[in-house]
Amino acid sequence: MAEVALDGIAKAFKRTPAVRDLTFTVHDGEFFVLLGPTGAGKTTTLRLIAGLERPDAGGLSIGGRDALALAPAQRDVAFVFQQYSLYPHLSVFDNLAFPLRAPGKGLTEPDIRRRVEAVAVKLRIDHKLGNRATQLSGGEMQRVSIGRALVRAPACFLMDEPLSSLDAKLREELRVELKHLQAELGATILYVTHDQVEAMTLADRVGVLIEGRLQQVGPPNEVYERPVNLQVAQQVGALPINLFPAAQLRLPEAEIGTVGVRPEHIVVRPAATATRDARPTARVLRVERLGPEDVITLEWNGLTLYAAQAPELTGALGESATVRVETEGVMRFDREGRRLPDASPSAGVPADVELDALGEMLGAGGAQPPALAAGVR
Amino acid sequence: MSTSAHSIVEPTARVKWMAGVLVAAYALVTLIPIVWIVMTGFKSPSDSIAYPPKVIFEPTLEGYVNVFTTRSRQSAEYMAQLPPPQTWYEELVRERNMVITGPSRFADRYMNSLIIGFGATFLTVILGVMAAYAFSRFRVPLRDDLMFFILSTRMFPPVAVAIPIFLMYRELGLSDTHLGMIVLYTAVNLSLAVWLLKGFIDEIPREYEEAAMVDGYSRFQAFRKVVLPQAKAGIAATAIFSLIFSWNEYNFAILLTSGQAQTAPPFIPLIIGEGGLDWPAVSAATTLFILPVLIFTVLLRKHLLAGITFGAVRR
Repeated sequence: MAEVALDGIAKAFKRTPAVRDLTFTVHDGEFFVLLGPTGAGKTTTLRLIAGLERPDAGGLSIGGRDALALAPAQRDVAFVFQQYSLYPHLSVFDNLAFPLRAPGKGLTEPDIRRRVEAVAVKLRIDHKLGNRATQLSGGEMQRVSIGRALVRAPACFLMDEPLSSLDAKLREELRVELKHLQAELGATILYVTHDQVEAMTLADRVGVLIEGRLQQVGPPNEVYERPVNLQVAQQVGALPINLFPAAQLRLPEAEIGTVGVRPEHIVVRPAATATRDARPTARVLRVERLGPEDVITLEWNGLTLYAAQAPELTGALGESATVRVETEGVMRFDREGRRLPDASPSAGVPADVELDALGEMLGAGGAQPPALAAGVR
Repeated sequence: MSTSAHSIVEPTARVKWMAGVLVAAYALVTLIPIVWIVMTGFKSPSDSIAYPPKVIFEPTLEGYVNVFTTRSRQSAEYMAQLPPPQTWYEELVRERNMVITGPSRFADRYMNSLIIGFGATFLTVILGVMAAYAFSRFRVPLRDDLMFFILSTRMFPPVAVAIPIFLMYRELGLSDTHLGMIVLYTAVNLSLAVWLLKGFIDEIPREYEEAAMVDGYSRFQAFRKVVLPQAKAGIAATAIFSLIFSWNEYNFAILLTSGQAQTAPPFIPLIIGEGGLDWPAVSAATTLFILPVLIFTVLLRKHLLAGITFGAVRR
């Protein structure tokens, strides 16, 4: 296993930039997830590292070696493709043995057989070795595909949305297996996905890639709770973040451009619980009962909001509800979309505030941001 | 599900029956001439020109013997003083008051057809698959123009360029040589081969080769181990089309070959001149001539079927 370092890598296709000035390092034994929307340049990044594309600029080292001059075959990386990963004309065994039979490997057939069988047992496909690759189910195919990378024990694994073509249950199963395998092998993995849950659960660190630029790198919870800008805040999270333009909150012309609150920091209570300072102000559009939590879609002042909370809090929601915001979850972004630093926690800030009063509270300090806490953690 | 339920995929019994009749009728129409040729090959000369035509007849191998031998007619006295015939075919020939004077040139011509036909097919497939791969995978400058240019060689009948080729070949010393004919047939077939094979290779996702290249194979090795096996159907279809053309080609063969490289098609009509109206010999030669393509096609039939439905290949 080895470290992979990108230094200012750039690549354009016919003058359309795919990735720009990409600099990051995947540490030895790290599970690094590159998260981004479709077309962000995630796959291009993997292909550049594997040597399937040549960068226009920048440097790349794999295991301390300068890799740019090396052919794909010499880079010692394994690529797990999203699709088309198995050779349809070969059996499962031959598919797994294919990388080991590459010229110059110099392995004997008994050696190959031993390694293939070991990997097959680990991935629970040993009973399928004699089958044709085309006779497998989707989950088995993707296991073989991962297995073909595992038999090689490469410097680094590159995985391009390997689970995206599977159904939900299988995806979850394989995800757990994959994390387990990585821990067991201490493998260096660069994993690309647009799936929030995959990124959050698998990654040691997440890199958020948007429009070819790496926006932020950090542990999953950090990227989720402290996004550097609006784009990252919008990209990360299974449910979309609620964004309030400053004008909607009647904030004075100040540095704040947008206020963001994640759905789990919005508390919705039935109108029946209204008190004098908690008036029902939002219209309930939809309640989705997902089991462990309810996802509530609301309309407030012309904005559509999402809230996620435990079912027992929701109770019997009528057409209108009171909405409160937990102040620890409030993110402030400036007019360019950069997140403003959270002020240090202070005693004067209430734990939550009615949505209608949010702007008032934020604006209280004027240009001086109020002591809104990030930090009851 | 009841059998009377309507289905948009299953044809109804009546449609099936009608389709069966149509196919049978078509098969009959196309097979009769072939059956007639095979039958005539086993007839005696008089049976072959009998009117009304004979469907029931006494089979003889005379036609086949005549294809492979040259014979001369002798007087009864000469025939009487010959020692008894050594072989069954000598006996067959003597019944007609003839003796075998030597082998005919048919075997040589047949061999020429095999060498040239399969040689050109082999070369067409090799060059075609490599060109198609390059056009499919690499950023070839002026790719679309080149592809159109290649196709444009199909826009006139090949024989339209017969005279320039004749003159060129005479200058280059390629007239009446195996090499000359192989090169010519390859050139004619290559356009179809490149287009056909490019379609097939386009259908093979490039991830397969890329996976192989990341796994330690060079591009050429990936091509050989991953692309070629998956292009089998296209290669089979191309080989069959190419062989059929090279094998049946008549115009260039008659123009450019006369002796050592003459193929069977220009030779077969000449058989009829040797010894009157020898239809059984011509038919015997034709029957033998059909066989290689028939065998080749049957061997590759499984792949050909996939080949004819190209474009409809499930990705």
